[in-house]
Amino acid sequence: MHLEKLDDILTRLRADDKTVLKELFQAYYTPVCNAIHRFIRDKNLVEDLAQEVFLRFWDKRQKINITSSVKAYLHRMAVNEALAHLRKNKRYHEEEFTADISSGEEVGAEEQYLYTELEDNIKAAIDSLPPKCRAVFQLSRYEELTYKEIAERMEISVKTVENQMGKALKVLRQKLKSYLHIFL
Amino acid sequence: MGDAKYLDLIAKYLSGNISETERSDLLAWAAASESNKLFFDEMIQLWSISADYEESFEPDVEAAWNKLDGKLKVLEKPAPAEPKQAKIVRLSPLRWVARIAAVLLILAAAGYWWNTEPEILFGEQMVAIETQETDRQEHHLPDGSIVWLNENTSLSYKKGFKERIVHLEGEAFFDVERMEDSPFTILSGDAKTTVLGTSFNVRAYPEEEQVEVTVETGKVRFEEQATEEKKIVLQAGKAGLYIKETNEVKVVDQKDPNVIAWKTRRLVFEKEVFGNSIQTLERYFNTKIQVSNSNILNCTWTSKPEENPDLAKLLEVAAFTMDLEIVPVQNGYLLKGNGCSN
Repeated sequence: MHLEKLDDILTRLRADDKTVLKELFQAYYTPVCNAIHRFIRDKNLVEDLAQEVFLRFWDKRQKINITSSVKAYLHRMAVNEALAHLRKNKRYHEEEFTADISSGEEVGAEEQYLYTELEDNIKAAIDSLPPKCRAVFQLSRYEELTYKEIAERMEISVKTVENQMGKALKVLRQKLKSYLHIFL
Repeated sequence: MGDAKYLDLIAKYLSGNISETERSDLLAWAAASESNKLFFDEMIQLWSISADYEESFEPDVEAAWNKLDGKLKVLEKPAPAEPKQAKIVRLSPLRWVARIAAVLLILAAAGYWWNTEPEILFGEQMVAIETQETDRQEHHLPDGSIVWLNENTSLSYKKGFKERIVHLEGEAFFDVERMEDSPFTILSGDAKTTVLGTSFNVRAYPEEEQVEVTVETGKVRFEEQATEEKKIVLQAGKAGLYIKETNEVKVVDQKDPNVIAWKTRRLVFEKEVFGNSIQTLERYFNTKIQVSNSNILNCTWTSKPEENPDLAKLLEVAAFTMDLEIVPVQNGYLLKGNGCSN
């Protein structure tokens, strides 16, 4: 997909040219979905929220000010959309943060030595984290936000962020223990 | 095995959030025993393998685009769309006074502001400004008027601004350019606020119990959009209050210099009854302030007006003046003391 320079894109957007929206959609819908999918597992909901991102983007096309790239801008909107959804749906209850360690499965011995399985198991381990705990982990590990930034965006305290990161590591260690010894 | 404290420190270390003292503490702990060191190495390993977490969502992009296109077409239709459920404050059949005050209401139909003005098509060039959680913004309108938006507020208008009409949801302070033949209109839900040239503040957040309009200069006229018959006029030094629960409308004298503190970033407390000050402080700093003894509310105090005030400093002044103890609690502060007699 060949997209023109940022200036051209912005000009076309401000001229209400819907074909540029279509091009952006075709280029970035999947990455936007992926960004949201990190936080929300229900794929239908992910797509709804991803579409909401593009609708909001189109809605404020006259006013947006992009300094980095459209992709980065959309990525940030996507993460915000996911977090807003998590915030809106329920209040952060303490129970939701409690990782259910007992339900974790040990990775079977026969799978240990298949490197290709590793990725799936990492994904499964991270997916098994409760939604808000996973969100904290995602924002730190992949979005590389500081604890303070995470606390602000999720509207929780920094202490809570610290606890959640600890819990996330605890769960991941439990589930991926077998893999750790291969590399050490 | 590491206990919880070191697990948290390790997380801070790996994510780059650790302080120097914590780092020394952690490294000393790791060096202290073989099992500690092993645990630490395992966590480092865990962190690095978690880098391979690739999302591989493969949506049907073509189908998704068709869906989005469909949604856009619906939004572009001239007929008003159904307002979104989430935050609409419904007005039961109101007395005319209350309904006019309803003019002051900025109904929070989240994002679906355009359904009130059928002729404003989505496809037309609109200018939209939005502020988020910790955001305030000053915006200049094409006619020279200035609007200051508080947090979580959105404002929009047709690009050319031939007719001076804006849509508002949230809180904003308007300084409207006087133009004799061209009234300035603010639309929100069923309500219409018209001014010729004046400055005033509108505060209408859906989660609050009342709506407040405070006029700084000039006169503000309100009427019901549909009939345009009944009017209330507010002028400088007055405020209109609409209490949502009782549908009650009051015109009150507005002597509180801190109503637009959010915009001026200045708080003034001069021989003010502390009970009132608490409300102002809670609103400005977005915090909760409780007192151990209701007599504390009767005390009066004064603090020197400052730009961008600091809550801790203000509370210290209050504590010193009124002999209070300040106790930080979960969402704010608790002030303890004997207070003052009435």
